[in-house]
Parts: sequence; C-alpha cells; structure tokens
Amino acid sequence: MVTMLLLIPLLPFAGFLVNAFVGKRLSKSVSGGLACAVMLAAFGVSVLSVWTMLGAEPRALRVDLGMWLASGDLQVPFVLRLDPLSAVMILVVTGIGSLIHIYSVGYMHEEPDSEYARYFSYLNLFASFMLILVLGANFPVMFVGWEGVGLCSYLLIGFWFTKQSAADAGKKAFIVNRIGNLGFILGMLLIFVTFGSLDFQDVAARAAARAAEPAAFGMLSAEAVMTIATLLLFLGAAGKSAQIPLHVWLPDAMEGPTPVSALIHAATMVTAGVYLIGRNAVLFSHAPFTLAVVAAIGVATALMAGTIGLVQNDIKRVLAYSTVSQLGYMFLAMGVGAYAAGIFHLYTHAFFKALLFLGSGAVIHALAGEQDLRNMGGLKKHLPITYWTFLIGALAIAGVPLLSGFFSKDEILFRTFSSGHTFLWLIGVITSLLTATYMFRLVFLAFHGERRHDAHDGDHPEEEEPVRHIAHVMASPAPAHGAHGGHRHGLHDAPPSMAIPLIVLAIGSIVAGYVGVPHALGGANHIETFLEPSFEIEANREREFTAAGFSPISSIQATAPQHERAPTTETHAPAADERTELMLMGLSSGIAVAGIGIAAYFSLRRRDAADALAHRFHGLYRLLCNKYYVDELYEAVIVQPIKLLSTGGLWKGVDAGFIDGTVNGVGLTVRTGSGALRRLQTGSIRTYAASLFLGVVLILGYYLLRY
Amino acid sequence: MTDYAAIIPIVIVALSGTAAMLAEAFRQPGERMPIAGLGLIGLAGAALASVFLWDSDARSFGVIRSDNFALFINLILCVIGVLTMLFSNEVVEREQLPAGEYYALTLYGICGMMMMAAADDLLIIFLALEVLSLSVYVLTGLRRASEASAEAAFKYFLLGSFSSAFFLYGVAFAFAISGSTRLDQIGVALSAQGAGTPPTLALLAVGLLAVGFAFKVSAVPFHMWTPDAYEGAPTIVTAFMSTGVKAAAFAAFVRVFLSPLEPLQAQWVPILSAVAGVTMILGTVVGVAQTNIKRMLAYSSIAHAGYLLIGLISNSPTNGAGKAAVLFYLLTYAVTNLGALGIVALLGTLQNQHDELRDFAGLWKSRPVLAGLMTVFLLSLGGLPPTAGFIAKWYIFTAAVQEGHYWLAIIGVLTSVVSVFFYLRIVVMMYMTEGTETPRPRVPATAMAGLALATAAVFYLGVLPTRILDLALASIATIF
Repeated sequence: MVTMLLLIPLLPFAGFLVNAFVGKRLSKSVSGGLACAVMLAAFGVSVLSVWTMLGAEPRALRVDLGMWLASGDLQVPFVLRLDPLSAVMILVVTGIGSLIHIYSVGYMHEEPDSEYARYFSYLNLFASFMLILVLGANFPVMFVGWEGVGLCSYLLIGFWFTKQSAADAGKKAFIVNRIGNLGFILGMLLIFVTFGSLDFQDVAARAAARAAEPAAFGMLSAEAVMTIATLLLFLGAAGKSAQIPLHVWLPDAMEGPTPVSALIHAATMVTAGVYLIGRNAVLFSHAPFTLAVVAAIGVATALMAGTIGLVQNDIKRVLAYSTVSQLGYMFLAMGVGAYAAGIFHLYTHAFFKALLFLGSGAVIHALAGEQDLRNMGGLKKHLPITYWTFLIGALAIAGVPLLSGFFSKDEILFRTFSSGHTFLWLIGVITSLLTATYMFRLVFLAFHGERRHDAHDGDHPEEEEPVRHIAHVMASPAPAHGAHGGHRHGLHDAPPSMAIPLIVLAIGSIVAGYVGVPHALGGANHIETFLEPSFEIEANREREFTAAGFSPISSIQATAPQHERAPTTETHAPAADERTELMLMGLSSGIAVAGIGIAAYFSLRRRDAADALAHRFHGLYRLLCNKYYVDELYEAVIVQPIKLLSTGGLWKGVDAGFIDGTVNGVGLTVRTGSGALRRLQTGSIRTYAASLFLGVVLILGYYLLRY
Repeated sequence: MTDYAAIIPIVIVALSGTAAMLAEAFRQPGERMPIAGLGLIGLAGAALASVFLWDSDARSFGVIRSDNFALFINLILCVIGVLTMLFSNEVVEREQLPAGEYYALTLYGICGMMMMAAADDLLIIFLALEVLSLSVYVLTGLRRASEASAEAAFKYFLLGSFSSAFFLYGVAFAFAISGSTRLDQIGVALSAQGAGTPPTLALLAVGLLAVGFAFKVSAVPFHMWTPDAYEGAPTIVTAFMSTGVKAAAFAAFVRVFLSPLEPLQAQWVPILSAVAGVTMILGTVVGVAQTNIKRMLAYSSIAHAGYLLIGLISNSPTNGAGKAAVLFYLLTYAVTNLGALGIVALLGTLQNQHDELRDFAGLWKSRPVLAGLMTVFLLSLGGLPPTAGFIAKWYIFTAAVQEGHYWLAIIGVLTSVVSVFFYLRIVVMMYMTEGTETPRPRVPATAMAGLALATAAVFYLGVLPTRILDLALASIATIF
C-alpha cells in the first residue's frame, strides 16, 4: 500500500518519457493532455497517500527501495518518506502543478507541435524531480531532486532560446545555482563525517544527542560543526531560493514562459531552500548563529526586493521581486525558529503567487506579448475574469484580513515579535507596507485608468520593437495571433483552459489560510500542530539514542526543549499573548490598507506626484531602478576577473601559450614541407618536454630535500 | 609446470587481432569484410575466460597474475573494446581509415592493456606499457592524409618515449634496493626496512615510477600531450584511447602503489595529492575555455585523472567500499566517455569532423535520440544524479573525507561543480541553439546498439551501483 508513494514521482516521469521520445509525433491535444493527466493522477495518489499517512501512527510513511550507495560505514538506501512536512509539499507541487499544466495547454498553444511536446516534457520532468526532492528521506536522495529541478529550471528559462536574453538568463540561473549547490554538497559531507549518517531522522537525533560534545570533529565542538554545516546548507538554500547574495538570478529567470515562472519560480522550486531548512529544523535549532544569519538575510532580502519592486515596470519583474521578498519572509520565519509559520506561508504563497503569475500571463497573452506596465491600463473591463482573480491574489499577498496571506504573514510577524526580535519585526512590517504598495501599483497601472497600449503604437517604435519580437517568438504564425489578440475584436479574456486554473487558484487564495487560523481569532492553528512532528526528533529515535547512552551528557540535552519555541510562551501567558497578537493583527491590517491607499494615490489620482517624487529623489530612484547595482558589482568583482583568469591568465599562461597556438599553427608549418620534424624546432614539443621534466625535478627535488 | 591459464584472455584477444590482420591481407580491394565481428568474438571470448578465471588467482610464468583485480580490469577493457568495435564499422569506412591496421592495432592495444593490469613484475609492466603505447601511437596517426593527425602522433610518441625513460629509470632504482623487479619481492624488501626514513634509492624509485604512470594517465604537469593527441587522432581512436589507456595505466598504478610501494605510503601521498589537486584545477579551468569538443573532453579527461588519483590516495585497508572507488570510477568513466566520444565519432565525416562546439547546434532538432543520449553522457561526466558519474564521484569524495583528505575533497567538489558548466555548454548547443541544417550521416544499427548499451550502463551504475561495487571490492581485495 505504501508503495504508492513511488507512483507520485514516477507518474510525471512517465509523462516526461512519452513526450520526450515520441512527443514530436503526437498532436498538441495528446501531448498536453497526457502531461496534465499524469499530474492530476499524481495529485490523486498524493491525496490518497496523505490520507493513509493521517491514519498511521506515528504520522509517516516510508518506502525503502533498497541500498543505493554503500561505502563502508556509510549506508545510503533509496528511501522516500512522507511526513506532515513533505505532505504539504507534495500537495502543493502536484495540486498547483496540475493547475499550471492545464493553464499551459492554453498558454503555449501557439507553439509548434515539437516545441509544445518539448515544453511539456520538461515540465513533467521538473515535477518528477521536485517530488523526489521533497520525498527523499536523506540528503543524497534529496540531492537527486535538487540537481534535477535546477537542470529543468535552466532548460525552461532558456526555452525561448532564440531570444538572447533568455539564453543569458538561463546561464545566469545555472551559474548562481552552482554556487549554492557547492554549499549543499560540502554541508552534506561535513554532516556525514561528523554524524556518520545522512538520513534526515538519524542526523536530527544524533545532532540533538551530541550537541554538547566539545570535540565532535577534530578540534571543532559539535556546536561549531553544526554551525558550519548549517551555514553551508543555507548557502545552498539561498542559491535555490534567491536570497542575498544569490538573489540575482530569479528576476532574470522571468525570461521563461509565464506558467514556468508560476510553477518553478514562484510556487515550488524556489521554496526548496525553505523546505531544506524545515527538513533539518533540529539541526538548525542547535546552531543559533546560523538561525540569526538566516533571519537577518531573510528580512534584508524581503526589504531589498520590496523596495526594488516599487519601481519596476515589467509586470513579471514586479512579481519576481515580490517572490524574492516573500521568500525572505519565509526565511525570517525559519530564522526565528517559527518553522511551521514559514511553511504555512510557503503554502499560502504558492496559491496567490501562482495566481498572480498566471493572471499576468493572461494579460501578456491578451496583449500579444506586452509586459510593460506603462503600456497597459484599463484592462479591467476587457479582461474581467483575469481582473477579479488577479485582484483576489493581490489582496491576499497584501495581507488584507481574512484572505490566506493575512494569516500566514501575520503568523510570521507575530512569532518574530514574540521571540523578541523587535527590530526584525519592524523591518518585516515596513516590508508588508511595501508589499501592499507595489502590488496595488501593479493592479492600478494594469487594470485601472485608461488604456495606454494603443496610444503608444505609433509614437514609440523603439518600445514596440521588442514586443513584436516576443510576439513573434511566442507565436510562430504571428498574424493569426495578432488578429486574435488584436484590434478588430478587442481584447480576449483567458480561454477556459486558462480561466479555470485562475478561478480555482483564486478560491484557494481565499480559503487556504483557514487551516491556520490563530488562537487569538478563536481558531486552532491546525497546520502548526499538524507540522510540528516534522520539526522534532522522531519519538522512537529519541528513545533509541538516549537509551543507548550515546553519551551521558547528551541524553539530558536531547530531552531538553529544543529552543525557545513560541508555543511554550503561549501556554505561559495566553491572555497577554493573544492580546499582543490581536494588536499586531490590527496593525498589519491597517498597514495593508494604507499600502493600497498609497498605491491608489500615486498610481490613480496623482501620477504626476509619483513622477515628481522620482524626480526629487533622483539618486534613490536610480538606485532602485538599477536594483542596487548588484549585477554590476558582481560583473566587475567576480565575472570579469574570472574571465581574465581563464582566457588570459591560467589558460594562456600555462597551456594555451604553447598548446592552443600549436593546433592552429599546425597546418601552416606542416604544409611548408618539412613535416612534423620542423614543428619540433619551433618550440612547442620542447616546452612540453620541459613541463614534463619540470615535474620530475619537482618530485625528486621534494624527496631529496625533504629526506 | 607453468600454468598457462592466466594468459588465456590475453591470448584470445591477440589471436583475434592476428585474424583481423590476416583478413585484411586476404581482402580483395573493394571487398567488404566484417572485421569488427572478429574483434567482437575475441573480446567476448576474453570476457568469458575472465569470468571463468574469477577467484582462481592463476599465475603464468611467475610474472602474469590473473587475480580478481586483473580480471575486473579485463572486463572493463572488454566493455571498452566491444563498444569501440560496435562504433567502428561505419566510421572506419567513412573516414577511409585502413581497416586491417585499425582493428589489429586496437586489439593488440587491448592485449597490452590486459597485460599491464595483470603484470606482476615491473619489467613486464614496462613491456605491456610499450605494447599498448606503440599501438596507440600508430592509431593516433592513422589518418595519414591529415596533418594534425600525423603531428599529434609524433608528439605523443616523442613525449611517450621520454616518459618511458623515466619509468625505466625508476624500475632500475627499484631493482637496486630489492635485487628483483618482481612486485612481491620489492614489497618484501621495502617492508623489511621498517620504520624511519626510507633509503634515497627507494624514494627515487617511487618518484620516477610515479612520473611514468602520471604521464600515461595524463596528470598535470605530464599532461601536455593529451589535448593535442586527442584532437589530432581520429575521433574513434580518441574514444578508445581516452578510456582504455586510462584504465590500464591506472590498473598498474594502483597495483604498484598499493601493493609493493604501500610501505612508503606516507612518502607518496603528499606528492600524489599535490599532483591530484593541480590536475583537477587545471583540467577544469582550461576546459572551460575550449571550443573544440575533443579538446574539451581531453581536458575533462585530465580532470578525471585527478579524481581517480584521489581514489588512489584515499585507499586504506580499513576503508570499506572506498577501496573499490577507483575501479568503479574507471568503469563509469569508460562507458560514459566512450559514449560521448562515440557520438562525436558517429557524426563525423571525412570532410567534417563534427567536433567543434558549434557543430552540435540544433542537434536536438535533427537527431533527437542522439542528442538525448549525448546529454545523458555529459551529465554523467559532470557527476549529476541519477547517473553513474554521480555515484562514482560520490564514492571517491566520501572516501577522501573518510581518510581525512579534506582539501582534496573540497577541490574535487569545487572543480566538479565548475566542470558541469562546460559539459552543459554542449547541451545548450544541442537544445538551445538554432543549427544550420548540416547533413549528418546516418547512424547504423550496430552503433545504436552500442550507445544503448552504454546508456543502460550509465543508468544501471547510477541507480543500482551496489552489485558492481561489491565485485570491485572483491577484486581490489586481492591486491590490497
């Protein structure tokens, strides 16, 4: 029965195989239908599995596929494990994933058959790897998914590779993620040498049991090891989840098709970093320094991305910075030890951010590729379904009461406040003001006011050029598309395959938060109690390790409370706490409304005031428009030196000087008649031999001098 | 009574090589002969013989020893040979290589490689080294009309002779301290020295033997010939020698350094660590800047030599499966690299080698299956799960960490992370670049079978590695 867990990643994988190998010969409806069907089936199986898990005691299902990597004392079986945390993740991945697949059927319809199949094969492959990532019960299995989703994201960002910017964006995403992966691998190796296991449950139990050891690895105390290891893991998480300083790839990743942005770069893959920390909650709890770093980076990223989002004019880029900012919130939650709150926000965010992206996709689709907010406006009456669903998403992310984003964001802010991080809380609150403002700036600019699209047609040919280019890429039979989205019939709202996902996600964005209604509002915060076991050591393992007497000191440690968790404070002074929470809630509701008001003032009533402001604070405005010049900084400090090193330095100096010169020179010299011998005289083989001889001298010299 | 059992696999391959030569001699001009079939028969026979000899620890003439270690290498070499034969048929004809010479030399080269893995005496190792080297030198220059091919062969030959001289010098020093060239005798003599500083002669022997092997496995700074030879040789020969020579040379390297020279481990580990570190870094960094695929894979091959050296360095009797990491890596590298270079070879024609990066543009459109398989091989070379390359690197790096070679593990992880960049450049070319519709030759069914075999191996080793790892463990246990 539990082997049905296997089906969850295997179903999309089967879809991938079919579309990858015979997709070219399938019609669009077959390849798209198949891709959606396997996702829906995977969703069905996920629901069944979670249902089964709910009945199990303890709440976890394991499927052991036997030994995968065995090397001495390191035994890594291929195990999938479903527990509350991964349950939330698979439901998000397969559920929202299915909706985005369905949406893609309509959105990608203009692609030629073979490209269409290629698109769906990548999308299915992505889902398969993502499911392995969240179901893996140990680091290496998770790593399979981790690398796999990275690869798929890379391929999908560069899907429209004829656009140079898309190809570049793919490359950038890939390189930045490599840096993160480096942290992941090194962290994994350090954990293995210290704790002798890579199974998440084992590591958690051993970490807790040995937390007080003064010399766990060489001279390092257990705490130091855990701090280093978790920092390395966090580097991996920051790469995947676009946190400072590795945030630069995500906005560029918007070059991919919009459903991809919704699925990979908003709802699922980018949250893998948050999931990684949640999965290793016990380990991170023993590394307070890392937690502080996580919280600081998270809140800094949230603020930075929020400010940039205020001034962006590309509809998808605003959403991208918003994603970076919301991910910052999740890391803030992780960093203050409110793991459940972070995952809760991950879950609600998946709904409203997917909705917002798909809505923006519907706008772009209707406008034949237009993405610039300055060329939109007045779309409300042309695209009613898109408008209303988009509005719900915007309200949810802004934190307007009774929508999903309100509950989860509030939970994070409350936990931050109640754990004593007042300063972080304050920045979080400021960020939520920014969130409401940039979100509604987008809504007002795109949907309200007068339509500015047509007005610009003749006036700014240079602005229209890229648009036509995109339209061309999106729709090879460009004239048909133009007529469809164009001027004779007016604008068309989303076709059913796109509208249905929008509506479902809009409903989700409203109700998803009700699994986590806080106690202060008379709720029971079900999601927190549901997730709690995933952030603690498995009950039987704790016994196992303390009973075996892993070390006498540690057994005390293991049973001691993990860290200052909020729930404990709640039991102490429930009344006072609930009062604070209610007050904070009132405050953030007010802030959400204020943010919307600011946006309305500047985007609807007084657009000239916004311009005046931008003019007055010219320096700041430029700074934000250029995203704090981080790209430029990296280009100057990292990219250029590396380029110099590999093309001019190491390569030219050590090898190319003689090696690559030769291959190109070969023909010439040989043709002059004296064959290879002549080449000998020109030096290259002498340099080769000299290098060889140098090696001999070094080795023998070392021996003769050393001994 | 001398036991001939140990040389049976070698003899079978040698016979099939001779048969190939005779077949060529009797071939009418223009007549087509399935010479590759002869090679396949011989290799299958050798593989079968190796399986039957398993666990027998047969010895011949006191200098050839078919222990499980040698037999495991034999099997790797048979896989390499079979894949080469499957890819060759069409390619040899298309590139107008002299068929008889090509097959005979390839098979004789495999004989030398098998002998090198099984030799129990430094002089026999040297002989085997020369047998395989001479074959490979000639194979490199087999495209007689090509200037690049001739020059590559000549450079390879000159530098090879130079390094052989160092190796031979090392043999002489080893003889000087032990009075014998037999590996076991040298081991006895060295362990009799006991603790303390080893004699200078022993150190010189270690250093010079290391140089000889390092040249053959193309470790820095003895790697200079590699890019030229790999680029200049016919692609199918590059595929063969990049895997076969590496497997054979590492076999002897591992046998000599872990068996007789094991007492001097404290002395050779620092040297080889430095070599391994530099090799990984240089191979990777320079590889990033290449635009020719054969040259890129040459630098990749240099980097992989570095990873293999980590495996050799991190060996210790107590370190469970880490011991077998080198053998597992050799097998992985063999099937993966042969697959990748095989595809390059299969797409080449006499006029167009199809080995520049841009030649791969749009391959996905015109040859989706080949592009898919190429992607699998490249991802495996880069060490991405769930392919064999990931597992192989995994074992090597965990072994290094377990033995305390943290810096090597870190450099290894770092460089393999960077290396994925250049493997993926080819993938990008195939999938994300519009190609000019260059006519690409048809790929025959036999070659497709070979590619299917290699792909299956890449996934088998990547998903279910334990069986092969157990075998590798059993085989290395016989020497160490």
